[in-house]
Amino acid sequence: MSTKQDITMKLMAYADGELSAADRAEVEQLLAQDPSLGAELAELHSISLFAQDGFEAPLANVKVDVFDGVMARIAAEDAAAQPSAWTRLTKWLGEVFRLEHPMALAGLAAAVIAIVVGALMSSGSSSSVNAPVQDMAQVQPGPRRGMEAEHKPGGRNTAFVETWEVAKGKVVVDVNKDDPDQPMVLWHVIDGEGTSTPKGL
Amino acid sequence: MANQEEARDAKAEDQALVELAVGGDKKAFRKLVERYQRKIYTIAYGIVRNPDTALDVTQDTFVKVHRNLATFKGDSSFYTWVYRIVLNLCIDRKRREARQAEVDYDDAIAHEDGFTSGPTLASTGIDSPAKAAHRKELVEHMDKALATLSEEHRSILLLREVEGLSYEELAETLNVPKGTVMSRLFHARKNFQKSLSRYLRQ
Repeated sequence: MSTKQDITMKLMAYADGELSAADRAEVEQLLAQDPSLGAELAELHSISLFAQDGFEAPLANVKVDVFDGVMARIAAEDAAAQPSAWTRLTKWLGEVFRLEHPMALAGLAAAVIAIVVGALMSSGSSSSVNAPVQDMAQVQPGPRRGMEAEHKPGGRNTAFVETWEVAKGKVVVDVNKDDPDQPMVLWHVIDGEGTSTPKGL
Repeated sequence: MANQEEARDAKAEDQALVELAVGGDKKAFRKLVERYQRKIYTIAYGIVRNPDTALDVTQDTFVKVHRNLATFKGDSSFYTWVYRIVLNLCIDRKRREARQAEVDYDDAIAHEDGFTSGPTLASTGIDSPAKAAHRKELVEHMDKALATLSEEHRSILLLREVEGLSYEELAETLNVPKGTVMSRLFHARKNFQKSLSRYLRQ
């Protein structure tokens, strides 16, 4: 014996086209016997119409076009999710050496970075020492201020000191009499950068 | 029969587009978006009840679809998969927002009577809501009546009445047994009828 609710549920499934042929036949028999069920069915139909219209009516004039926005959002998320340089380096090293142990990988990465940093520092310091010499080598010597022959006590008898004025300062050289083409820089002065002298002088 | 064939064709077409999109075909993904964006927006708006939030949720849905396309194996329909995504996003969004006061009817309280025991919509004399004389007023009443429903009831009504999902597809999309689908749909309809009748009587 079906309760009223059972019948209502079956009627609803009938209206929704969800019943098997046998169940449909049963409901149609009930509808023929009980006219009030016809009113139930009509009301179910009304509810569906009102609900459908209720959802769709407010959007009747709304244009929906989200593709460009979606692609822009994907691109923005991808950009934000870019791994850091460290992550990329460790990942790359992992791929290259196929290391399975993260600690070993981290150690290797640290060693590589230490070598790179060391090399950079070394080249940086040498360039700073060489810079004035390069600077002097690049500038054309100005007129000689004079040949100030000077005998250096304890020095080589054949040597004398010569001062050259250059664009950015002056260079004092110890010229070897026997081989003037190979002067020895004693000290140099670069404007704004101070004086440097070879160690021991 | 023709509808079943159309549905099968649409499913096969969706699957083909998904495969192309997974392979990086942007045009195929665009086609999927264009095919479903209006439906997704309608569902989102029906649940969140705010046009801007609905648009945002629609975009979120397709971003998520794009990210997870490769995991879609075609065991279910593409649209039930997408509907599940949009429903979950709507529910997340609503949870984050302050809860609105809702006139909700507990599913556990059975409506012992059928659909004709109280005031009926048929008695309003409006056979076709879309052609009603006081259309603007009616749209407002329907909108208010839908707003009084719980998200669960609005979701199931939307998917059934607007998207036309079968009970089986509803069960799959909402991740509930078929029996729950029937019960929830019954109560959703009953509550909508009660609420709308109240507004129409005012």
